[in-house]
Amino acid sequence: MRFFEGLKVVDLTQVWIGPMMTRILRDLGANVIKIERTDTPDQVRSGFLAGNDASGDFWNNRSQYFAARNAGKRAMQLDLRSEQGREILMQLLENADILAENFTPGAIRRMGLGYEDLKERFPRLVYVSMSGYGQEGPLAHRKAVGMSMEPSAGAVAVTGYPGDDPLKTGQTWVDHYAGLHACAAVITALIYRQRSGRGQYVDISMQEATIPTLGRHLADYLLNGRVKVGGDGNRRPGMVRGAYPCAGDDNYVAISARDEAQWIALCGVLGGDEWREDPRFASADARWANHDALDELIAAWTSPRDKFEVAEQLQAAGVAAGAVLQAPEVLADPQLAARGFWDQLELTGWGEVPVQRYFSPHIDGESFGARGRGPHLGEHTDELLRELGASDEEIAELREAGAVVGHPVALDNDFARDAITMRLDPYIELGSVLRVDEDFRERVARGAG
Amino acid sequence: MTDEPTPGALDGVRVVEIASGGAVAYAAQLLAQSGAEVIRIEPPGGDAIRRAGPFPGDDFTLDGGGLHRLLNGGKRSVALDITSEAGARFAGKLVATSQLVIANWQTPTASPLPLADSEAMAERFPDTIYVSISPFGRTGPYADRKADSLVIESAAGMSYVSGKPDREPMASGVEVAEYYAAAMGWIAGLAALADKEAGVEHHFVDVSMHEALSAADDHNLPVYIGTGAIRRRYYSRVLIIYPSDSLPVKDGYVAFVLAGFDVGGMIAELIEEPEQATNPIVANGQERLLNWREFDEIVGPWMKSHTKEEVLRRSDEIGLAFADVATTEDLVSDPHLAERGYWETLPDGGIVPGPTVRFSETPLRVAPPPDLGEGTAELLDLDGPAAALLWRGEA
Repeated sequence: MRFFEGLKVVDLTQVWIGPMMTRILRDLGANVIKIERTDTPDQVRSGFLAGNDASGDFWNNRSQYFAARNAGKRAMQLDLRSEQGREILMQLLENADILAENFTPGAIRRMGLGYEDLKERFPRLVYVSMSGYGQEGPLAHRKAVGMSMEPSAGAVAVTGYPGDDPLKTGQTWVDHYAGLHACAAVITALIYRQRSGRGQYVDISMQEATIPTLGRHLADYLLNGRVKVGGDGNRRPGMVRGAYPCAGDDNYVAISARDEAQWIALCGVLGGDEWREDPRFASADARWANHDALDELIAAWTSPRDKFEVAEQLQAAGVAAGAVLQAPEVLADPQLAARGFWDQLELTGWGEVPVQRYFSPHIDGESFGARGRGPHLGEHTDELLRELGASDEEIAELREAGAVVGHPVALDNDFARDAITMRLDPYIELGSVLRVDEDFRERVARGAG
Repeated sequence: MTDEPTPGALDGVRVVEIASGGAVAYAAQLLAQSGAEVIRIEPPGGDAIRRAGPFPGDDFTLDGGGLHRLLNGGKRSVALDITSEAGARFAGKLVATSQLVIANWQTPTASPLPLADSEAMAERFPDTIYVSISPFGRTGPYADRKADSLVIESAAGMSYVSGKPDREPMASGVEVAEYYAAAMGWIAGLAALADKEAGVEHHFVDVSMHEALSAADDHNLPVYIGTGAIRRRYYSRVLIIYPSDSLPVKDGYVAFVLAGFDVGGMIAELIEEPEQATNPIVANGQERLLNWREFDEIVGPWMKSHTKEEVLRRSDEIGLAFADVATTEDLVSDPHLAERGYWETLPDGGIVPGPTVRFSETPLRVAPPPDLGEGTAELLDLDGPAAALLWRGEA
């Protein structure tokens, strides 16, 4: 996209919300410079390593978890607590369009790098801060991660099985969701800048971005004072909706019949006239009241059947349905494959791995994939310094002073290495891992090809 | 909030929303908050969002439903039957004058306006960017499949890891896929608009709800890709670290969330038992996960003998990422959100969420939703009787 080509993003973010956002800008064509500390690199470099192997020196290049969030960026290490490090940042900002950060609120201002410190010198800069609770307010300084924002934004209180305690989902989604808001905000600010010549400051609170997703639960409180505590599981008022067991190892099919027409279609595939004529299921209200009984009948029908076939039969009849996919099945999904959702990226010392597209829309037939693998730690430090005009001698001096290349400590001890080496067999025994496929590398290569 | 007029980043941009579900409505509302003029074309009897409720006092009303208030703020409403020739003709007039049109439309025969045919749309409206938000995108073997958030959460691998180990996979209590699709449609619409302002022609933006949520994978894929292990639902817990759960306290729950690895000292400090700092079942995330019942017994008594407020005050002091398991009521009365001025009061006295994003120069504007068809006559330049005929599908 021409609009994004040549845009320069100085990216001080780490973990998820920020890197995900700047990767979208990168995939659309921007030049993204990822800046990591000289002592502690982006924590997700050590997340879920290929081969479950945290030994050796190259751990920081061996994570699909990191690659997904940082593909195609250039990475440099910079000590922003040093005078020289901050000076280099200032040079990088000279022709930058966007500065992104997700430090704990207040931290970047203490380094003298807040928006107020920069806006006069860089009036066209779009400066985006991302945090759990926003930059100001009594909770601004509360430590926040995606897993704490799902409850604090109200989503956990309305999630869970019917009649049971609240339960979060298994996917930490708030980070990513709020990051999409950050991305839209940046593009909005760029459109405004194009018209006005002016940059601006954007404050993203994960909590505030997420609260509107409470939808009907929020509306019911605002209009009627009703407070929902505990979830409806897979059910929704007025619908026949659930995840039902199928043949095989822990397989399920999700079925969602939203109205009378879909209920009749569902009966056509599963229960026939018997269900339609059953007074327990004669209306949406009756089906809601007798959902347990209906679920038993549906489960009895689905249990011996293949989840993909059930989904296909129901879809053919016009009912929303789909298999509940396990990770390798997501990688093998024909729809994602057909639309080119995966890019194959090199993990150094491991081989190619599929990486999802964070900007997935197709525009006039064009799609926007990763523009390179995840950068190694400090891979582009010298290159970027040279672009700023530094000589070899000056680079050597900066290094000597510790401003640019440091000694990352994330995995320098046995405790840390042990902490990230997954104990897969005990997890199987516990029940949090279904199984380990011995031939997973072939399956991955075949599935997401 | 002041009444001083501030510029909207999208002032002068016209967007037509063809009423077709929550994702489309929310994407359009987000554009409206930036100053775009959003015209919502709705069926004469009102669309599903207006009919979905919840309603004030549980009494049905077309213009006052809860979801309508949360998804349609700041828009204009034109009521016409887009499946009729006349309705489609007038809708086309509006689309022709807009920069963006947004719809979720899979069925070719449902309207004379060729919403299911991107090429026909581009031919007929060469100056308008058509943003389609559909369950699986408009290409590929699932292009015509139906889905709601449950089906998408299942396809994206999210359901399988959500829930209890002895129960069926569980959906989120919020329609997370719809909101992901809305956010992705928002981004993609803006990107195409920006690029068009930079001189590049764009016609069709194809947003897939399925892809938007599939991209949000946390660690299911890296774990499988790197080890062959299939992560499974286990009280929705992540691998490697425990807890991320809501644990009981004296007066409710607190989300006991531990980020980072070296947290033994912080936990010991929290529960005022310094000797626990080096207990592996406290200090090591995987030991905590594998022996979580024992861990709960260690921290449980302290948690249960303190209130939410006390626990959170302590965890804040120590620097732990604990959080309130907030209900809707908690959020609406939350002092933090109040100080930030999050909740906004509409002219009728009702409260709605404020801006999801804070801009220093172009703050988002929150506004009430339109009554059904309030803009039909004005926006189509019709007199009242003609608008009424159109409304009734008799024009």
